Amino acid sequence: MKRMLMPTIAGAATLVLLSFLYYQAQRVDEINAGQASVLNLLQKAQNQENRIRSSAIQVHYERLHNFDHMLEDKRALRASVAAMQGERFEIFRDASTGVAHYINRLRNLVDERDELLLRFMRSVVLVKNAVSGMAYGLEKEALVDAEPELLDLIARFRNTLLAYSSNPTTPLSEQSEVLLEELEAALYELDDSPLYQPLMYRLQHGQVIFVERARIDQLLRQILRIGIPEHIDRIMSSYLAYHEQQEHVSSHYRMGLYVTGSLLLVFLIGTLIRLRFTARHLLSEKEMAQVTLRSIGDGVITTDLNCCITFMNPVAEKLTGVTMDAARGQSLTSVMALYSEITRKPVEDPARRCLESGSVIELTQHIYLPRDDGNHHLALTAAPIGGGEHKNLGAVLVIQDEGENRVLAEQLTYQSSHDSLTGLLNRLTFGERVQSLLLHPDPKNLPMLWHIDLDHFSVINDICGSKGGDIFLRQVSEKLKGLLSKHDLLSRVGGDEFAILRQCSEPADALNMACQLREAINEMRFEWDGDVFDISATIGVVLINQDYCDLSEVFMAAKSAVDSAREDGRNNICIHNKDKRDNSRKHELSLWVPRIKRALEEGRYRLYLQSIAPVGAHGYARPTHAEVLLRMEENGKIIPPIFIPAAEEYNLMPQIDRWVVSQVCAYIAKAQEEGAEAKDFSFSVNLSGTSVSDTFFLDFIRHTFAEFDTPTEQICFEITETAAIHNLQSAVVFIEAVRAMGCQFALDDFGSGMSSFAYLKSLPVDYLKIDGAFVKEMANDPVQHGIVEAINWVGRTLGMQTIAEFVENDAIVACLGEIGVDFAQGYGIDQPLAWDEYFRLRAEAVAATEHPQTASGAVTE
Amino acid sequence: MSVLPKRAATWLPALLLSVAVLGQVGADAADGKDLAGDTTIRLSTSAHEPVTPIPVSVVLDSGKVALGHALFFDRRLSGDNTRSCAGCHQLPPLKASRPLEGMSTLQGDPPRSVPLLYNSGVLFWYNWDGRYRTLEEVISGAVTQPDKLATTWKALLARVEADYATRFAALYGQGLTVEQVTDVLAEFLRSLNTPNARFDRFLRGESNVLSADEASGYALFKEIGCSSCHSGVALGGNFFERFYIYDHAGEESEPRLQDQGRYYLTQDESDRNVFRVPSLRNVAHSAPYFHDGSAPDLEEAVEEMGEHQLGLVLTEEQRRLLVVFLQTLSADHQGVKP
Repeated sequence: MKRMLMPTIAGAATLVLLSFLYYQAQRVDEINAGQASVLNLLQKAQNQENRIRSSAIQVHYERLHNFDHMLEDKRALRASVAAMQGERFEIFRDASTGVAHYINRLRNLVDERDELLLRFMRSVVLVKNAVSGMAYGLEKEALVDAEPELLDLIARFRNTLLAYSSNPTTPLSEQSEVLLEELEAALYELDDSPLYQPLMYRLQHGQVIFVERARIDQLLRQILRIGIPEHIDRIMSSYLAYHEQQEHVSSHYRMGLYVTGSLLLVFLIGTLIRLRFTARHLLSEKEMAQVTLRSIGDGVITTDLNCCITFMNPVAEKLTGVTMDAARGQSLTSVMALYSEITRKPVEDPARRCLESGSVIELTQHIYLPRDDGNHHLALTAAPIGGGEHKNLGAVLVIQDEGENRVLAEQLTYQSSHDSLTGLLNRLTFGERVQSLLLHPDPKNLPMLWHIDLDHFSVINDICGSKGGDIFLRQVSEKLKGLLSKHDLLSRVGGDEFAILRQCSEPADALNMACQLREAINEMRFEWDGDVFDISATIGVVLINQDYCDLSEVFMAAKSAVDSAREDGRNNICIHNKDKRDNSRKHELSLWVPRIKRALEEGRYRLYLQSIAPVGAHGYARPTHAEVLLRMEENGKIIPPIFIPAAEEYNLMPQIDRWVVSQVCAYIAKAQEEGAEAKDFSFSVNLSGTSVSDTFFLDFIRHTFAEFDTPTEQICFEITETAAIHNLQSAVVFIEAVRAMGCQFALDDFGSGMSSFAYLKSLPVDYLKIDGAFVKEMANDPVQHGIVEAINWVGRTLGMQTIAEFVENDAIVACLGEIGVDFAQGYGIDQPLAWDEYFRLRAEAVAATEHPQTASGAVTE
Repeated sequence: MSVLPKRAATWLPALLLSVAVLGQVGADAADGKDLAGDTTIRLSTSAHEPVTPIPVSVVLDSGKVALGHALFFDRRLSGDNTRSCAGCHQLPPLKASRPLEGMSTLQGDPPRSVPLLYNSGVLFWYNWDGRYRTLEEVISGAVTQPDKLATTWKALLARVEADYATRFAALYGQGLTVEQVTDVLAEFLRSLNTPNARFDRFLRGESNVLSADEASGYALFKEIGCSSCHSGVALGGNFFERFYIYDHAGEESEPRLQDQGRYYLTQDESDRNVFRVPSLRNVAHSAPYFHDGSAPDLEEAVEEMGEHQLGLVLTEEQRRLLVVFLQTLSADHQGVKP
């Protein structure tokens, strides 16, 4: 503002000065222009005055006069004076007060002189007529009778007065006066005489001459004394003096005018140059600004005070789909109608809002611009242009197309917090929720976590490929979602692991929910490419309470609960009990893993055999069947199968099982080649639950049998009851498939777990191995005895042969014989021996049988 | 920006021009020419005559004359819408051979003879007492005087404006003003000259136009001093003289001397009974004579003039000659009708 003020004031002052000087110079011009006519007029007036004077004198001396010339001059002079007082000579009059004053005086003088002239004319005429009357008027006849004295008087009177009329000297005046009195006196005596009237006229003529003649000179003197010429001269000299002064002043004004004009010119040129410079600067600034506005990725729209668009950058054009030329002058709302996401109604024009409020308006959320290609979400900032001490010029709107940004951001947020496959929360986010529960515990709530491990997912993944696996996982997640209440959180925390968090739960929920989950999963059947898979899951439940310090502990607890459940066979449930022992066992088991793996790599497993002997009423017969037992050789020592739980825990059993099967087949093949006794012998091979549910394992068996040309009737597979029940469906499939190959099948450890006779019906096995726990004490404990008897009976009823384990002495054998159990196995019959050793001893025993002195007394036919 | 050079461009010629004009003026003055451009040429023939002929041509504006003509006959000029100028000042046709009778009537207070307006443009004084010096003053006075038009300029203009505004605007470029109305009426009056009296022709050089008696009458007119007062172009109307210069006993109580004339105007003792010398143009048409119409015919007027103004007792022959001469001052005029 201040920067603008100074040049404005300077410019205005210069202009005022310039116009003042111009006005003054103009005035001088006018005065100059008027000078000629003023001088002309004054000269004319002077001439007129001169003529009037000469006319007056002339009139005096002419016998026959004509006043017209003088009167015309008189009239002209009055007109001249009137002209001096008229409009045309205003400047001249104003030139100096002296002039106006002299003109007024001049006019008065002219009036005064006119009166004098009138009297003068009157007197001149009177004298002239009196003179001619005196010369002409007196009839001679009337004087015939007159006295000589009277005649003499008349003659003297006439001569004297005529002389006086032409030369009014004092003596003549005195004589005239005397004669006038004499004639008047003489007239008294001629009262009735005919001379009276002519003489009276003569007397009166004389009186007129006497009176008027004296006046004429006096009047003429007065007329000539009146200073009209002097006044005109005075006016002229006064005017000329003034004019000279004006000339002088005007040269100053003119100089000032030139100087000021030059200054103004310089100022203007300077201003123009500056303006040009500024304009160029502004132009480039504008260019810069335009380019900048064009280049930035945000849409920019400016509006005027009426919210009509004045500018749009290309991004804004693209965004609104309207070109700037088309949009210019249009209202903002007509070009860009914004809607609220919440109300789905148009929002108020942000430009108008910001102009009315005078502040910046930000619309960063829930605004969209409907367009043919969908709704564009926008973030918009509207700010008034100008503001502050300046008046607002309009508004500028900066628009970001949130469409892409926001979707991207939302996607990222979603992706970072969700599992891409199933759309569930991922482990990280889920963990955060759990963590927040740990950090802000609420005693009123009882948060609970169910950890669901799908059983045999790797099988599905292997068979159906990753695509099938993905579909399977999705189906599972859908299934699980259906079970959740509103506040439950479901997450995929691992490849085939899901977790559910319920913040507010009842203690009873732990098992109820777990059972529901398991049932729901069990209900599922996954079909892929014609194959149908039954699905099971192992579920661990953790009650999240103050015992857990952090997230990892919770997950570890869940995992260990699942492990515990799995230990009890798959498709199981375990509620985690925070127990150090469990952890130490786990730790113990984990120590085995490298040893097991190394032993596999180095082939340090050894197969042992323990006989399964047929039981008769009088003891047992010579066995033709043995169970293959697994030992690990480590540093020359044979380690009993205490590593099996670890191998199961860490999913190493399928490998071990494969090794065992192929080893057994290899031994059998070798025995057949050698013609050894083993070829008529049958072997029970233990399989882990994992292997049974591993469909590839079946292929492996087929392949191995084919490779070694194994007589399948010599092979009997055993699985534990628990493993069979955990994977009942797959177990049944497996059993049937294996039996179809010609192998036999035995159900191990029957009665140890959650055994139920109902299962037996669906398991098409050849043998039922009664759990050793019952057998061990059956000789002394009637309950155990009864159980064994019952199992035996059920087995028989189902067409199965029974095998009793842990037969440690002959008494048990006797009992078994009584009950009618088909086979017995245990230290009472023999101890497990290495494969080769077993057959060497057996060969020796056969030899001893052929030679009775060497046969054992316990073995009877 | 360009003001300076431009102004200088106009100043310089203006300055040079004014210098040139001044130089010219100086030269003219040195030549002794009439600076005012006054082109009046004084005829040598009449240089020694007391009478000047009426100019044959007058420069007039016909538009103004026409407007003045219309206004002259417009009754709305008077306050009561009844009298136009022509109501008092008839403009009858003039025939030199047949003098009009009873044209002069008395008007006003004191009652004075209303003059014929022909040739009023050549007078120097107007009204019997010389109240006015110009026709414009006469007209202006007539509007407001109660015994004349008896109105005000404002009212007069308001009455006639509707009818005359456009005609005045055509002439002057603007509406009615006092000056314009006065101007057109004065212009009209200036158009009423009667320049072709036989005496004028005589003055212009036609020496045989006058008969012997008429010429003798003119000579007598000059000789006894009539022309001393009745001089100039109008044979009068140019200055003032006392009525009854030469009186005789018993005539102090003369009723015609009750009118003190110019004294009413100037309050000067020397102006008692002083009147403007009347013009003798068309004098034969304007009986009865004198300011009060007290002389019924020319002969008596001439006799009284000789007696009272010149102190002469004129013989019958002298009076006849003078009357004969005075009749040569009559001119023809077709008169003016509304």
